[in-house]
Amino acid sequence: MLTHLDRAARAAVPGASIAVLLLVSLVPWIGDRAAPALAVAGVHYWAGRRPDLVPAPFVFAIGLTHDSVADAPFGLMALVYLFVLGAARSQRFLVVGQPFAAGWAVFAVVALAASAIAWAGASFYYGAALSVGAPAAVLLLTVLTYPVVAGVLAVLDTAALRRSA
Amino acid sequence: MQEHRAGPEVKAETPVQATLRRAMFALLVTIALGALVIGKAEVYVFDWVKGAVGDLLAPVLHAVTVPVRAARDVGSNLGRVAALTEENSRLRAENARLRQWQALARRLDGQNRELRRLLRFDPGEEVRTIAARVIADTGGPYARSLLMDAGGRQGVRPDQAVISGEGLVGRVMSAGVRSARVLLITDRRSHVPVLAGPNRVHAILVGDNGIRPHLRFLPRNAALAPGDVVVTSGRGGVFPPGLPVGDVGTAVKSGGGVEIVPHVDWTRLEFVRVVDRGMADFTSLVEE
Repeated sequence: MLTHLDRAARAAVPGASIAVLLLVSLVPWIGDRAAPALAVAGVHYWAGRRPDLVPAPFVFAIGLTHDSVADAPFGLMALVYLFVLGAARSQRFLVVGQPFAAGWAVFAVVALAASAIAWAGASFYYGAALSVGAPAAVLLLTVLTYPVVAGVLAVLDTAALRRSA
Repeated sequence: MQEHRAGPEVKAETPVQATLRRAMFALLVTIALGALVIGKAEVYVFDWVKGAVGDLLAPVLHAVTVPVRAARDVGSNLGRVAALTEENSRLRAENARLRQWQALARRLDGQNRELRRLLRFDPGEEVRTIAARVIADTGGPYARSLLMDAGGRQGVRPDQAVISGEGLVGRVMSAGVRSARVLLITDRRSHVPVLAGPNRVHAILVGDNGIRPHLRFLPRNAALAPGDVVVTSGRGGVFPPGLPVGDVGTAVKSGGGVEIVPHVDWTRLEFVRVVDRGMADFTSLVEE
């Protein structure tokens, strides 16, 4: 019984950490300035490392929660997170077992594509080509903060999942 | 730098499991795309879902916001210690100047009251405000709104004006039970009827999801100079008249609109007040 509970709790670590990253990115840190999309980094990290613990319905729900709290067009961030999930899963071989810089570079490319999807989706929703300045700032911050996010998640990964393996 | 080490082996999927997973993925992508397309028609149920999620997460966001703000304030205050003496003398000078303005405002207020009495002017209903804490904001590129921890239970309703100590913040877009969403004046969906400059020319303040909204539908002969004050006109009935909004900036936007520098400091917006409708002199609210 306890073993099952322990296993379930460890399996919940990726999902819980993505949810926490989402909450932290939505808190008013610096007001109207751009904030990094921390949960995007979280989805990318775990989907590359433990795809079995990051199911698509969960990522979809995280996206809809993001849309709801951030007042983004409904479905937009759900689409973006699903894209990141699919991309990270298909590019696992470029991340797992490779030097960190390679993983970071892969994330930068995925984040760039995700930003382009978000920008195109939002422009479609509002019926006008939106400014690219703000999405570019978010992208830059997201890519720059990735080592910190990945570092924290790697600690969680080692502590909660590797030891149980 | 750490490496992306190989993790524990992920269990191999059977062909059926892989097919099901792909089908689920495709279905969810289709649903997300469908929601995006249908959402263009401003479907009520999506707004309801957003409100319900906001209500559900309000206590969690509130719990996270308080320590985060405290940590941020400690950090920024430490940075300011060095400049404290200089800031103190600047504030003293500013205080002396503001006292002169306060004396003038009191004199004019008394004069105003007397003239209103003589004209038997009806000041309208008493103004009531509801204080709330900002618990989430969307500094994101696709929407400019914030979530506050007061909702229908506290008397917050859609289309009420929201102000800070500095000026107009926006209007209530939707209200849940214990939280409400505020559409900021910088959001591209925001349209605020305003009066600009000493000649009080009518215009519409329109956001573009940037930091500075701009004026549209200005009369051709409108002569505005940088620093001219912009206040709400009260037209349309959503925003009460006389709420300070911002100052005319120096730049003219590419679309021809005049850029406005909002009075509200978005980086330090922690508490807001919701104006429960009334027709009294709202300028007093932001100066309290």
